[in-house]
Amino acid sequence: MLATTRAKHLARLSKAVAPRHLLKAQTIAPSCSCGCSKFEPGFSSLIASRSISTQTHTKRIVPLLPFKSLRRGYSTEAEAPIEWCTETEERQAKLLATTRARVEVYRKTVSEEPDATDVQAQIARAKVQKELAPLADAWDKYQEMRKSIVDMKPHLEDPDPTLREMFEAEHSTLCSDLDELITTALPKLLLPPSPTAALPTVMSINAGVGGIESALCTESIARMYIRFAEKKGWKMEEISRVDGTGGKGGGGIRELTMKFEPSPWGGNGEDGADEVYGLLQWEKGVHRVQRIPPNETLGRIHTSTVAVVVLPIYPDTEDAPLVDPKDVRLDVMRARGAGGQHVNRTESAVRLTHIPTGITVSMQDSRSQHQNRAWAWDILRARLSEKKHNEDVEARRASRRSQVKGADRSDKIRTYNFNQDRLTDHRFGFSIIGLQNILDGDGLEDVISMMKKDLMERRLESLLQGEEDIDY
Amino acid sequence: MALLRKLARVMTIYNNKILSVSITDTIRSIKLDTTMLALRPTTRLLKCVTPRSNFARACTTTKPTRQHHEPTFQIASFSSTSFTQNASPEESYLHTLSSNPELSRFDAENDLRWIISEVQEHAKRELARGKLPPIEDERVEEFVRRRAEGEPLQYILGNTDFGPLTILCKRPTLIPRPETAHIFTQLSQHILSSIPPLTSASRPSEPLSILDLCTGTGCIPLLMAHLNPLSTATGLDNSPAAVSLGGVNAKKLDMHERVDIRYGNIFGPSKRLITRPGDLGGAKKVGMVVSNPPYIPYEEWKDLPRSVREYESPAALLGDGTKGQLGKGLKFYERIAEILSDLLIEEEELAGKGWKGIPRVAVEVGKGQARDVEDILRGSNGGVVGRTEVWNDQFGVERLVVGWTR
Repeated sequence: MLATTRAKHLARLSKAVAPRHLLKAQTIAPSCSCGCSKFEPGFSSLIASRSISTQTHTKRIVPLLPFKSLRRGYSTEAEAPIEWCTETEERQAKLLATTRARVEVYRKTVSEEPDATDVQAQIARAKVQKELAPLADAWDKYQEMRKSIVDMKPHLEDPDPTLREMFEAEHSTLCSDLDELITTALPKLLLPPSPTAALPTVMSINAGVGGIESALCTESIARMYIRFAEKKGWKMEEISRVDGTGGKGGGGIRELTMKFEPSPWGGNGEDGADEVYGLLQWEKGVHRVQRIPPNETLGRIHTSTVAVVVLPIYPDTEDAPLVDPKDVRLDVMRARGAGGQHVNRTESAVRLTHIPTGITVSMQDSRSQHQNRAWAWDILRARLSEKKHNEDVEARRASRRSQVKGADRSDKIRTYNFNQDRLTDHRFGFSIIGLQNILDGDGLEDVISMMKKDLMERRLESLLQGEEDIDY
Repeated sequence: MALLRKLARVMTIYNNKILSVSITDTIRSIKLDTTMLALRPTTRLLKCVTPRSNFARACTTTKPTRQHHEPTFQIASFSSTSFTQNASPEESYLHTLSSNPELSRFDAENDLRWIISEVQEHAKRELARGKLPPIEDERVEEFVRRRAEGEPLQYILGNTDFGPLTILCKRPTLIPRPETAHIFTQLSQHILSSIPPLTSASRPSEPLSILDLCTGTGCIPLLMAHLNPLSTATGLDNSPAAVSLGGVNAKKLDMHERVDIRYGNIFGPSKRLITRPGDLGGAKKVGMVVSNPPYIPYEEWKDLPRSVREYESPAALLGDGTKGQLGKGLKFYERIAEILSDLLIEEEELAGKGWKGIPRVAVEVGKGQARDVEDILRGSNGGVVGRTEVWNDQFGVERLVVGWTR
């Protein structure tokens, strides 16, 4: 009976956790994963460590500074004796390892004797402490809970059935509490949601190369985003639109600019009702569509491109104004002779020029000049906020010691291949079958969640290696 | 076209495109204009780039279902002729529009875009109400023809923007001009910035009453009341068409409680202008008089663009009253100056209500008339106006004469 469970446990260890993953867990977590002094090398863990030891010898990662101290006192043979309390804990091994690394950094800074003369170091130290203190608290709580679970283990075998039942009940509550801490509290503290995630967003979709076909594709892509937004319950506003040349509304769209805002009433109960930029941020780039166009008579496959621009709109608050109205010059397009009752023209075009940066925005889409002006201001704000964001990122990047692993900003990001019914994302290298579902906006969720997951992984990894949080 | 004999049911009409078609029988492909609509019998949802008007022509309603406001159509028959290819209809529309000398290519493109989008919006609204909209192409064609003949776009589409407001327009009432919106917005801002703050003890205790003479569509009183919530406005016009249109506008903007549009002839007894019919309280003087009276001299009117001369009422344009009358177009200003003292309450009374130091009169003027109008207002025998200023519009033309009491 015992042997079978151990075999299962072993199988799970070797199957569920990727080898690369184990390798990492091993190098940085040489002792019990919780970091407690308690160390019970079970039968299973011994075998487990032996089974992967070949890899550890061939590809040893040089441990980074913060973890060196951990290794002290343990022999290499005793590596990775991890006994997971719950399955969730096991699944979240990477998260836990990262948290642990961060907490180590925190502990180290706290214990360090600060050099009173080095102001810069003092500031950096205070910053680290402020940022990581809640995480360290949560970590302590996790340790405590884990310890009580481990302590309780022997009692689960208690001969008295009533007592055993009691312990089992207690054990399961503790385990579920632990799971909750791991799945909700820790990730939130370790990877706080980006402050830009909830920002309203301007999305501009432009037909690229490929003539009429490209305009038709633009329409499909635009429809995909519109339906996605509808599903999320976002507020949508069409800012400008240039129809294709096909005529009679059948020529697709050359250019479409939309504004998405978080739903004012909380969305359709969907996930991410208030996470507009957070979900759309990866859509920026060139989308490539390969298909036999509807207007192709010879059945050849065409490749056309659609460029998508996604800009977050930073709030223009009193204390941090994005743009001073005095810096913006408003031009109405044409002077008009005598004007007034003498003429009757329908010009509504406006142009805004932001003098310090030289950014100009022209808007002539609506018949109402008032509306055009409001839209032009929206776009000007979005462009300025993008500029500001880029500057922020640059500034942070310059202060970073290692190379940034930000999201790939290469041009071509995605291919929609109709003939193979396949969507491929080139940045993350995954393919999904079921194109129609994605173009209907339903499947887009999955695509985005994949990128979200990937980002999460990369953030964890970068934290694990003792770097700062990455940009995205 | 043999393939099209069978029936298809249009399930959803969205965004002017047919988005989903569920197939009741085999339809493989429909060639429409330049695009091929590929239907696979198994696909339920498909992208379709059909101009809906073509469908509408080929559709006959069965029962307009009220459910979800999505009417159901059945395609009764397709004739191959309804799908013959046109050489870019937009080009031909633009060509038609170019026969209107007032339109540059740029204007024509914008006008056409607005016409098409308005027609589509209208069709969408009709569909939402469960009605079958008129065929879009024909409507666009008609609008383009009317525009090419010189009719103002605002009359064709039935409304115009006036600052933040949308004002309904109907022939022959004068179409509100953007200069008017700009200059009266400035006036309103000036008033609001010159009164004491609302937290102080001397804040306005009573709403400011504004009287607009020759109001037309009612745009000025509506704008003033919209921009200044502490005001009530009355618009007077002697054209029944204008009065009824103004009333509709006030109602449509939901301001009919604060803005009263009614009949009034400024050349009649002045007392009647400020007496509400049926009001036993008699005449009530107002805090401020504004006006955009007719100011174009006959000589200039003769050379105006067609869209103004032939479509807008001469009575709303000619500053000397009737056609053929020669003059500088200042008759209305003279009359306004004459009756001003009968209309305005005393400055002390107004100051007591918390509206100290605001302009008492503001009139829009044509190019080059500002100095004359200043003289007229200041030199009137009533002697109400002591100080005047001339304000420019957004194009730098002298547009508004503002007067304060002595």
